[in-house]
Amino acid sequence: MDYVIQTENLCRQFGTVRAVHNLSLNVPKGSVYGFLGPNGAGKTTTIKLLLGLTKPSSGSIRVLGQPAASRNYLHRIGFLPDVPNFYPWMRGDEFLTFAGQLFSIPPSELKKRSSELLEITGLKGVKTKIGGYSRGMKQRLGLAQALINQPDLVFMDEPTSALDPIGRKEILETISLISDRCTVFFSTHILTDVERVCDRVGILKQGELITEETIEGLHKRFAKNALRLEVTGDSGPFISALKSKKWLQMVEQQNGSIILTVFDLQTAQQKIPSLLAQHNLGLCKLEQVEMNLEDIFVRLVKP
Amino acid sequence: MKNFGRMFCKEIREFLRTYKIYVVPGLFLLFGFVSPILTKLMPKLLGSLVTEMGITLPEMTWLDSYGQFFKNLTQMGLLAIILTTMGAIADERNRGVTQLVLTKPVSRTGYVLAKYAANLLLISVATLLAFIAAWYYTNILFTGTNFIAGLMATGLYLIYVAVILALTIFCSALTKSAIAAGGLTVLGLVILNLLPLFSKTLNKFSPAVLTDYMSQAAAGTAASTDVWGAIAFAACTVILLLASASLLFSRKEL
Repeated sequence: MDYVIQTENLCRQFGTVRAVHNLSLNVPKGSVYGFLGPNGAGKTTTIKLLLGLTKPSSGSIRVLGQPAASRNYLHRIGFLPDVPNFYPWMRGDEFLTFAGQLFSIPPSELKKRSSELLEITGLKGVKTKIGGYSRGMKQRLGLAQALINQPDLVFMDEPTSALDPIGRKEILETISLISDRCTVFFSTHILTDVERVCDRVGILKQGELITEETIEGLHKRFAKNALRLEVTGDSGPFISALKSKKWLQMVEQQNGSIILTVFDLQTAQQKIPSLLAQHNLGLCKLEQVEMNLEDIFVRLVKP
Repeated sequence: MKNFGRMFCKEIREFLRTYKIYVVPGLFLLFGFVSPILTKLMPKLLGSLVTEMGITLPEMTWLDSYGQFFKNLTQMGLLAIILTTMGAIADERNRGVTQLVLTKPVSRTGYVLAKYAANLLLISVATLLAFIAAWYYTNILFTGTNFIAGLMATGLYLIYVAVILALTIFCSALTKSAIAAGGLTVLGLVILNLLPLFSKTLNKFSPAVLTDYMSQAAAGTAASTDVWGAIAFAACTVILLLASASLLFSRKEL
């Protein structure tokens, strides 16, 4: 597999605080990689390390095949910080032009790209100076400037955390749009955003990577040993009978469904239909209960 | 030095849009206009007071006018320079703008040098304009004005300013707070002015003694050959301060 970000045993220490510890990341080319972790887990520090904004205490970093210390990859990346700040005296289009000039984009091409990005981010025609922009507008301009050089890799640090639902939706739509042509690495603790756009996640806890997997793989790995049953008829005697079974761990009723947590999923699936028949109950639904990403995240990061 | 030119142009545009391009030369021009006028009016302003005390004031000349002008530049002028440049790097770092700029192909050395060069250019133009104004009014109000002497003194002042500006940029690269950067610069300035007291060599060549050579030049006195040593020392100090600023800034976490 071709990786755009690779770190090996990356560590960053601030005095006695271990912000990042033995982090070994592998971000495949073309993926939308969700970098998850609770507040203070070390997500922003990791992004700063990857961007060369801070130096590691130990370990190695390669971004787009180049060592981070060389900074030779900067012309191929885009970056949207968590709170993007600009020159308040500039207008949005001026900042985009300035950013494009730093990438040595030819003027005619820059004008075209700038116009397109302002259109996509809904900032076209805004003549206000950036100093007068709202937080959402700054976030959208931040996204536009991160894409001005048509990067191969975009870093986004909590891009949706301070946005209203509409702003969030727009940013996520743009991420989906650009994911066809570049790799997106974005940190967040909003799990619904990750489920919506990411195909791979890395979960960070107290500076350490506790898992790195595809969303699908994560769901499979953390599939619960639990079944949801929906039956017709009086389920009381059936539930009482269940309690004596050795393969059952716990039984509970939720919104008209019976949730069975079991020790042995296969045995439970084999025994339940006959037990239902013994109690003259009709079976409407029998399904395995899946953990959503939020459940998985909480389970992984909970002390 | 990557993208030094673009960062330099951005600085100049920023001066224009934040009105710094008018404020700094305006302030310096004020020194240029006011110094000769104040010098001319001084005997009249103090006339009644000194008569009562039985003191006779000597008649003011173009030398006094130049003296007043350069005194204003080395006091108020320097203060204005420190106040207007102390936040050059510190403010942008504090606001987080540097994160956006320095994750693009811009070298930190280019970033620091662009700040220095743009501010030096602005102050140089402001100082030259101020000198022309001071010379013009001195020429009108007094007789026997020496333009070349004033121009040489202005040149020496600008070399001194180059050192102070490098010190301010260095302090601004050290900290995230503009106020702290200003305080450190003033502290550095005090140390710079105390250095000549500790060594005979420093007494001849320290950048601080450039102001003495400046006064000599303004008075039309033949400059000591030591002035070249002081200029070379100032140039080395500027290089050392900017290299240190660039190195320290490169190691800073943004």
